[in-house]
Amino acid sequence: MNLSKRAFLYVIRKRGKSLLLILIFFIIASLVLCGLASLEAERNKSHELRGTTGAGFTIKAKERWGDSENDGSGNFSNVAETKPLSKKMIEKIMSIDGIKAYNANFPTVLAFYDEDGTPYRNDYNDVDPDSSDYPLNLFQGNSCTNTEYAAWFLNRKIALTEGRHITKSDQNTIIISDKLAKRLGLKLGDKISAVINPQEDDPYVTLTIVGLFEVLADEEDPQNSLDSMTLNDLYGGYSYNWFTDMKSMETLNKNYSDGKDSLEESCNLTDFYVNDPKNLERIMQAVQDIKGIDWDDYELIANDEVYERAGDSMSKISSLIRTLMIIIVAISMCIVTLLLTLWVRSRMHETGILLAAGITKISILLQYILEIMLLALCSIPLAYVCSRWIAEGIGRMLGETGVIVTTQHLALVCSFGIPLLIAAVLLSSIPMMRLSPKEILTKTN
Amino acid sequence: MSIMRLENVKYAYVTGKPVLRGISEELEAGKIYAILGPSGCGKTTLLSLLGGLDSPISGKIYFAEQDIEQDGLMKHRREHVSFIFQSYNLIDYLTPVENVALTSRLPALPVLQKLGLTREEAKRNVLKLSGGQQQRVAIARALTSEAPVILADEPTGNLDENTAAEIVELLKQSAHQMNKCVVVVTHSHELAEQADVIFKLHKGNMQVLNRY
Repeated sequence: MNLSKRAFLYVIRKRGKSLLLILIFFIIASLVLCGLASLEAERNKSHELRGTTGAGFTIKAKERWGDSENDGSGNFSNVAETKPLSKKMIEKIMSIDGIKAYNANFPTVLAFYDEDGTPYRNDYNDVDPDSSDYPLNLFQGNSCTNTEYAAWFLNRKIALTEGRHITKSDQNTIIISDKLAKRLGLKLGDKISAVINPQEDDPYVTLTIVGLFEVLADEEDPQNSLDSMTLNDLYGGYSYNWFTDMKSMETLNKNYSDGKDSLEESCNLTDFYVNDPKNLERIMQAVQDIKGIDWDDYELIANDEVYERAGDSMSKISSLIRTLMIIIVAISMCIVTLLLTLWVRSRMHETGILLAAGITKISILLQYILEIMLLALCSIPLAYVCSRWIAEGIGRMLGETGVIVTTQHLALVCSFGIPLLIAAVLLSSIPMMRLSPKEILTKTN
Repeated sequence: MSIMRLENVKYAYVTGKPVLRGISEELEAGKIYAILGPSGCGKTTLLSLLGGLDSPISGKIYFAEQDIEQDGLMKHRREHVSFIFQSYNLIDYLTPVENVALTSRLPALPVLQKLGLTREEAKRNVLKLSGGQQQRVAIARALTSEAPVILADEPTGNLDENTAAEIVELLKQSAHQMNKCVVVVTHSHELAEQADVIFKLHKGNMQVLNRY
């Protein structure tokens, strides 16, 4: 009688032991498969998070204040000088692997009028319009080469809710907050007439509202009142700000341009967006290593708040799942090894008989291994089917749709599990195989 | 001509107590040998050594003038000897037919039926058989084997008189008609008297009591 027949007969005739082992293998395989599916779902979510949280960095030109100048009538003033990034510098930075896009910012204050020329009122400072000479229709904001990569959007201080972002090719476009739109009675598609200084001979530009954003940050939080994108807090917080395109700003700023070809080269703030927030530190280091940029003139600010916040909780979950998996695998290995040791020991008498009959040790070991493989063959596919259903349930419970057991998980369980089972059988058999048939039969009779 | 030969075989238990103190003897094919002796004198141990289940601490055992240790104990057990154990030593998840098939390619059912098992009993799980029936299965396993040496440890221990007599007759047939060498360890003087040669094992030494 060959070993495969002996193995088959054992499995079908020792029903109790076989079913017990099938059940244990099934439970362990199911746990591991569900764990792997959860790990992968978490990994995918992390990856998605990294791709969508918009981490990046901002390069801000430092202000260098010159000496005070007397204007001849006893008034002293001094002017801050900055060195905005040139096109060449931006190109060098963009050539670094991992940087996806950039946005140059030009902050300024504009006066807004409706189509009839009536000024829109900025009610932030609550000044009596009849008593004040101060222009009350001033709003501050930024012109951008690409609003999608502007720091406030990247850091999720604000989020676009209607319409679209402004890009480099746009002209005569504006994005305002939904709150401001409501206050001024405006909606997507409406027009605002804007000028820098209505009291000077500055050009007017008609801007069409192409997007509305909602404010996610806490406007009452003093930390949020003034940051790199605002000039000062006189004109209000996030909800009072606007974004326009660079081409429109070039027109608006005509009287104040310093002779540069493009307004982009006058921007003191440039935001850069990276593909993967995990690489932010490396990329920022690489930027700082670029030759030809004097970093004494610039400040490099990381924009990864959102990723850090979300990443924190994701990494805690990830850590928990990984720890649970390690515990499950470790305990499973102990249980399987112990079980198989007891199982092999219970075959001691049979081993002695087979050895006495002249059947080789290898044949006996192969028989035991084959039996375990037959049992695993029954339990693992069953575990695969059930764990898909269980994983779906886990996903539903957690509000996740990505917890799916795949054939790759199955292959992983088989490729690690089967050698583990074989090793457990072999290790458990060593003490027994060291004995002579007589010693075995004497012990067991 | 001897089929098996013991040359100054010594054996001691793990505790150091000597069991066999240098046994030299020749065993011939076509004969039935009986080994008598008090309990614990080493009869089963001697049978184990002849069967390659264990190794002597000194001395050699030859099969067809080949040292069985050098030739390989596994090969010796598989090709040269077949056992009838005192405690049957059957595989508990196999039927009598399947237990016989472990060591033999010959049809098992006729031999089992000859030994008193019905067709139904022969296909039942061995644990469901009586002690006597199990012993018959163990005997059938040895008788159907092609090995030239049969080693039997108390083969008629659990059997009634009639069946015991039948078994002895079968063993004699195996020796005299099939030219096998049959070595039987027994307490039964009636069985021993059926043997061609009777050995007595006492205090580690073996002597011939009778040769027929």
